[in-house]
Amino acid sequence: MSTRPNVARSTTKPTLAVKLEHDAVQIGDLRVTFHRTLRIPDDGRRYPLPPSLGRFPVCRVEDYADRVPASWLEHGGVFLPMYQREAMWLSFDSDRSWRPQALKVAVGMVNAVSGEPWSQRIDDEQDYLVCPPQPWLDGIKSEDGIIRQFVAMPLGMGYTVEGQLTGEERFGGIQLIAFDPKDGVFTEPQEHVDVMRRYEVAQSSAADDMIDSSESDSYRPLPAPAGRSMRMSRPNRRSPESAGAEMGLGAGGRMEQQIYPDPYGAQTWDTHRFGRVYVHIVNSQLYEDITGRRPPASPISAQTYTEHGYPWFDLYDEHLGDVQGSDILAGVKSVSEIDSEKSFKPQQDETTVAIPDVNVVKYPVAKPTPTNIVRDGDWPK
Amino acid sequence: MARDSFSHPELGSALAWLRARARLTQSEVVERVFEQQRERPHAERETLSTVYYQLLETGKRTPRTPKLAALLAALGSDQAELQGLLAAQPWRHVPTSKARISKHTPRPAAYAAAAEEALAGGVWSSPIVASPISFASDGEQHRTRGELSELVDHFENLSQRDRSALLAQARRLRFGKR
Repeated sequence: MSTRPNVARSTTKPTLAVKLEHDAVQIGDLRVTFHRTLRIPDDGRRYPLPPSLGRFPVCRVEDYADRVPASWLEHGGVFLPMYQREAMWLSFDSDRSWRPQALKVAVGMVNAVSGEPWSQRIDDEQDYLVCPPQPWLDGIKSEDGIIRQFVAMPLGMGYTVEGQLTGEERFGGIQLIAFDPKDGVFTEPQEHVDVMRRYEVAQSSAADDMIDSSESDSYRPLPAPAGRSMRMSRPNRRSPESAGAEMGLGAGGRMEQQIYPDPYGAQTWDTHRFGRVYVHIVNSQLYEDITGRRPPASPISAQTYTEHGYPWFDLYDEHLGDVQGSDILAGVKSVSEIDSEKSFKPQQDETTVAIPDVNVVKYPVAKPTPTNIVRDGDWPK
Repeated sequence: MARDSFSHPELGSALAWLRARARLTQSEVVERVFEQQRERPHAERETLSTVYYQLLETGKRTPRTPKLAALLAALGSDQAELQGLLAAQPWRHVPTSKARISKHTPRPAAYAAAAEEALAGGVWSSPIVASPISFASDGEQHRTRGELSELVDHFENLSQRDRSALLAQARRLRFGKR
């Protein structure tokens, strides 16, 4: 058994490579994609999982360093646009699925699984995901078997999870930290090696068939719109221009989703090998001010989507178990509940959507195979 | 005439596993059985109560075959799947207990302190390498980016065969027939 202390100080520097590719953030092997989706009704019912309606466009902060709020430069990371009350979900995948990673997801520096303050510790009180097998995360873990949908709200109005638990809304966005497994815990199965070899051969053959493979445009941010500098003069202060433009995540309707208990154990993860990404969320106006681009149009309503007979989703994953619901997050009020408290008229149609069983597509989630796991006693010291 | 009953030491676990998969409560299973019987008025009716069903799941009762068939139908299953489940016993691989999380509710100040400590000491995020990708720089860029985002999503959810077909079609559209 490894005797390495299982704690990383926050000030420890990240070591895993992070890249941004096709609007997905990859930390080590783990790719995190931010999906646009329907906002499900907040009517007290449990809904299946809504579809992806494409990805949110993701930009690096450093590519727009002269136009973003100064505090962003201290946090680094990426930013993406969301409309007020728009919903999001995250998907996780990896080219090396035999080698899982542990992932913590925070909203406004509040852990989305446990509701606790930010921490880089990994211990038996599980507040992290293990990917794979965890394929998706659609919201905060509020009850057993249930999550509440991620819904974007402006900072400063008291709607976000952060605002409700901390009494202030300073951070917003999403914070991700992914940990590698300790060396030697997972070994690459032989069949995966073979698959990769066949893949490489196939790629090579396909390349010969390509008519035009000469395009090699490099990533380049667009020039700043004239006269629209968003650079802030003081760190951690918002200018009048950006007040209400930065967003955090609040709680929406209830969906059936499990957070799978760590099948390998907390000692599997190397808390000294990690990568972190701060995902700033901005409204459409600030996004356009910074990038010169308009964000994608707001998705259609759940009602319209369902009337067209499009699919919803569910997983055969009961065999994988579930992390306990968080008492802290169970107390978080949804966006529509706060609307009611503030006597605001309903801002979206919360009419119950009837989803026929035949419209719910169920995918199996494979249980992690134990064949490629090196047991405790065999770990490198 | 005495009718056959179905006995197996893991039957209760199998029923519980099927019920969890169907996301039903025990009383909802019983209600479904009754609903199915209402839809087939000429079929023989099986009496069933929630308490009896609970006893089945805990292995304290053995159902007669017709009753088991009605239950399996309500659970979206059948005898063939039951036999397979009893052989594979997937419920044995369910984690023995749910993963724990803390029940301690922190004070608001603890959130701020933890966040400030975490974010202190230089740029918090890892350096991020951007992959080579570009978008149209004219007035069409908004639409282009949205369409490309959708295309990438479709592509990633297609089979390898369909991806090849889509690529071939894209090449034909761009370059004409070869």
